[in-house]
Amino acid sequence: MSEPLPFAGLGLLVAAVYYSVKSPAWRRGVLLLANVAFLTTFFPGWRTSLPLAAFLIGSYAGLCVIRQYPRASFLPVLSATLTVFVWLKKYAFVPAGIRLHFVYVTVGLSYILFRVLHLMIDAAAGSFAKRISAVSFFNYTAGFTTLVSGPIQQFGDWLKTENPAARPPLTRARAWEALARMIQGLFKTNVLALLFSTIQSRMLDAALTPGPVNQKIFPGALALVLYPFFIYCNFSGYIDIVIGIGELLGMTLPENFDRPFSSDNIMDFWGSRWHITLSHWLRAYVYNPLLVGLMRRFPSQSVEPIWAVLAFFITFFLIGVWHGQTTEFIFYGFLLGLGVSVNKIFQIVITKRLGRKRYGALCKNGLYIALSRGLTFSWVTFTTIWFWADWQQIRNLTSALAPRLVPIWILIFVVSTIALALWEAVYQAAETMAVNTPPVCSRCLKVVLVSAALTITISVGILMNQPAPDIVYKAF
Amino acid sequence: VDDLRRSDILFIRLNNCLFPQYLYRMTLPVPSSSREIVYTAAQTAANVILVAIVLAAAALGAYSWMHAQSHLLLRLAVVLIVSASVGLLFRFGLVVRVLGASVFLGLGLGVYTVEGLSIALTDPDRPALHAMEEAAKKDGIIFDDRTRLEVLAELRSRGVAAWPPFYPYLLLNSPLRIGDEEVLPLGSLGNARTVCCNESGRYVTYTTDEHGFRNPPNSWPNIPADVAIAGASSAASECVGDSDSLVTLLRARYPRTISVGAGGNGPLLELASIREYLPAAKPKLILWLFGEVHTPEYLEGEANSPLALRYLDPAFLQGLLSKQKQIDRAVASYFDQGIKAGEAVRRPAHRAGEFVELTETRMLMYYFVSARFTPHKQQPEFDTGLYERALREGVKTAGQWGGAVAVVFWPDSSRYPGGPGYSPENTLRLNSVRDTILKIAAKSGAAVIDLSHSFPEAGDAALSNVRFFYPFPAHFKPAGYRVAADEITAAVSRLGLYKESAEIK
Repeated sequence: MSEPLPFAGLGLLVAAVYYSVKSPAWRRGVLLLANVAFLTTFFPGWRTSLPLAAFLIGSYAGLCVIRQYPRASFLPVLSATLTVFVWLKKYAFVPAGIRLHFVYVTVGLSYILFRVLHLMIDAAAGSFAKRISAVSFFNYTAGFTTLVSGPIQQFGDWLKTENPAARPPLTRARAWEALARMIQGLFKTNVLALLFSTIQSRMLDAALTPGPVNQKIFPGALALVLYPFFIYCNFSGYIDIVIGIGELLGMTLPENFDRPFSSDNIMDFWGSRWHITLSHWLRAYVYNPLLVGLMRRFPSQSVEPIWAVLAFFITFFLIGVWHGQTTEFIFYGFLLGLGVSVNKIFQIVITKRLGRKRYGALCKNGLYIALSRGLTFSWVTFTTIWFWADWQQIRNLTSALAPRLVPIWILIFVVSTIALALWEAVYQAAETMAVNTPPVCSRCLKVVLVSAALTITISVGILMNQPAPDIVYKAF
Repeated sequence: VDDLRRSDILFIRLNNCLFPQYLYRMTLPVPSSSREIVYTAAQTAANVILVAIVLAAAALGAYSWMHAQSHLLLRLAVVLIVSASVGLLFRFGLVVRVLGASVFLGLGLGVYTVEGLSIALTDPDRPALHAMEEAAKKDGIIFDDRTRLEVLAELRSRGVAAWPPFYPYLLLNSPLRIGDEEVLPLGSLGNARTVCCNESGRYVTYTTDEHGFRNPPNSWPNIPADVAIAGASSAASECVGDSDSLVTLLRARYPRTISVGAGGNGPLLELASIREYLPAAKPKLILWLFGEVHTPEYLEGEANSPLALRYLDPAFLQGLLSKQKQIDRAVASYFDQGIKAGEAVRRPAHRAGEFVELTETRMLMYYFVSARFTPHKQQPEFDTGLYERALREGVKTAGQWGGAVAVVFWPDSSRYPGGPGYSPENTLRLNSVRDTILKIAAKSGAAVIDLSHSFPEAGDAALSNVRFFYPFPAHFKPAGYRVAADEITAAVSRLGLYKESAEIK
């Protein structure tokens, strides 16, 4: 059911049933039923659901205990929750002998964990005045809209619209915006992601086929560059559908992406443009406490920047490791941490050298921004290799392109710098035009684009019988 | 209004729809605010778009009707588009009209994008090509991904007179004209450099003999021949090189072996080849190949061809042997036309035309609709009676010079583990076809050589099948042909089918 088209269909069905009943209690029932039904679609048998169900029940019990005895129980409960998570996710370092030896499903477990930890930490800090009911806990942690790939909504924000009576009415404009967002998401997941993945795999094949290495530069570079675009369309498209369904049901879910390839440094990319809610979560519950802890433990102004770099490294290393259980993802985490740390050190050093004012001026320089964007994109492309390939594939690709690796990366940097600068110029021009254009024109343009996107999506899925690639983040 | 006639009202409405500014100027004050100007412009744009859509749809309808392409779907689409546009023009207010025009524009944009995508994504040969590429890679061969047309063009540009292979079955219902008569050639041009096919990763090319079959040059004057092979593509040794061809392999034991096979031949065209050419060669033994998957399909096509059916009449002959020069000219011209048509299809103007006509999208819609609403076509029932008649005629023909006929049951790779599409159920189904064929062959007075047990059918031995078969539907690999040739040679001597001292009349 996590395939984009059936998922969007389910969203529409739930919305139809939701609005067909008037009483808030019934509407709450409809949502609860939808959450349970959605979750059950992932389980081939009742046994496969036991670990996830036990995790949810255990987490809720832990939350209740923390509310009752915040000081004494917080650390043991938190440690137990994390241990069970690591055990159920079968991380590489978990000995095979102690793993569960039957097939079970852990769909959305990572996202459930983020929400559970957020509740536990905030409960320990005394943030919740009222007791959280079991139904609210379940709806928040395993809501069908955000279960599979997020976004990770703050409980406080979620609570504001928990009661259907508190939700804004569904106006024609709201419904149109929601549907348009869902169609945009479907277009990304079912057409653009498919296109990028198809071309990427063809290019990869071409790059790995025996032959003169000069003929592999272009396919090799394209295979590397297209994956970030694929994963962006795959993930952000699904999030668009999620946000659209949420909008239909009167819930305003947080945005998870903000034109990530326009980032001009790696901290900007990970911090506020890519998987934003995860970054915010980590900032709130890992980076900030870690930095504060280090600064309290070693209070010296001269070492503060070092702690900041260290906290960045650890936070982003954790982001990488969160993505998967294999050594490739550990290395991926190391690269993310390395990139962000180097970025932070560069900022510290250059600010010291140039001074804040001149560094600020440099950051506004068009050429500097274009080069930074190209570099950021190239680094993201490089690190993403450990996201989509295993060591064997990386070895094969490296040996196939070995004599031309440096030219390939120079090509990627140069082309991405120019292409992203052009794209940004076009985007800015379009933004300016949109501001100066009468609303009727921009609305018409939106209708044209949405109709086209819907036609293409349906045709590709049904006529061309090309299924959308799997949602990659479903696995996390 | 009461004084106006209906046609006047319609005219005013049309005017109102198409030129709102003009009417504004006539009846209302000129729009002053920018909001009004924008709305008037939007209305005009919507009207122009809707009228353009009506005209385009009508033109499409007329074009398809004139070109006899008026499918139900197309007619329905035209009617729907025209009625929706006209409805929007005359029945609805500004907002709906502008919205409708925007939706139409979006649909148009979407449909043409789909056309572009379907050209890029759904190359019908792509999955097959990909499988071939993978197999070639495993064999350490750099896959030649050119089309046959590109190979021909390249050879011709170097001054080599290269030709595609000749498939007689393509002309079953439209024979070539030689002088005043219609002729169905069974062989290609004589002594023609032929670019055949590519299954291994490299194109197989060969030169035809003087009658356009795949034999070494000067095969025909060696009368009487030892062995003749009749059949479809396997008899023409597609797609292996000359050194691995069935003729070459059998010549190791029977030096005067010739083939009169051609791709796509079914029992009637095979009988035709035997009747037209083999009386001149008088082979002591005719190996008549029966391809277990394709022969029944080919026979179904031949059963609808009056010309092919006439070969069941012992008195009928086209006299092809003596018409080789005319056949050469006719086949060359047929090929040239085909090559020209193939090149025309690749020209940008033709492709642009196809794009405008939404050729790919219409094809996809056709497949989509026909897959759902057309009753499932049953596997053709093999016409055993017709096959038996053809076989008997062949045996009778060979008997005229004292030759014998042996039906060689040529197995399909899909019946073996490791072959493409293998499943035990499929093998069971193929076995029942095999048993029927073998019975008919025996009944018709032909000997039987069953090759279906020549390749490993189960167990660890079946792992070696990758040496004989490609992992995609294709002909045998060279090693497969060698096994077949060895098995045939052994069976011929075991059954005593070839008699050195046989008297040829």
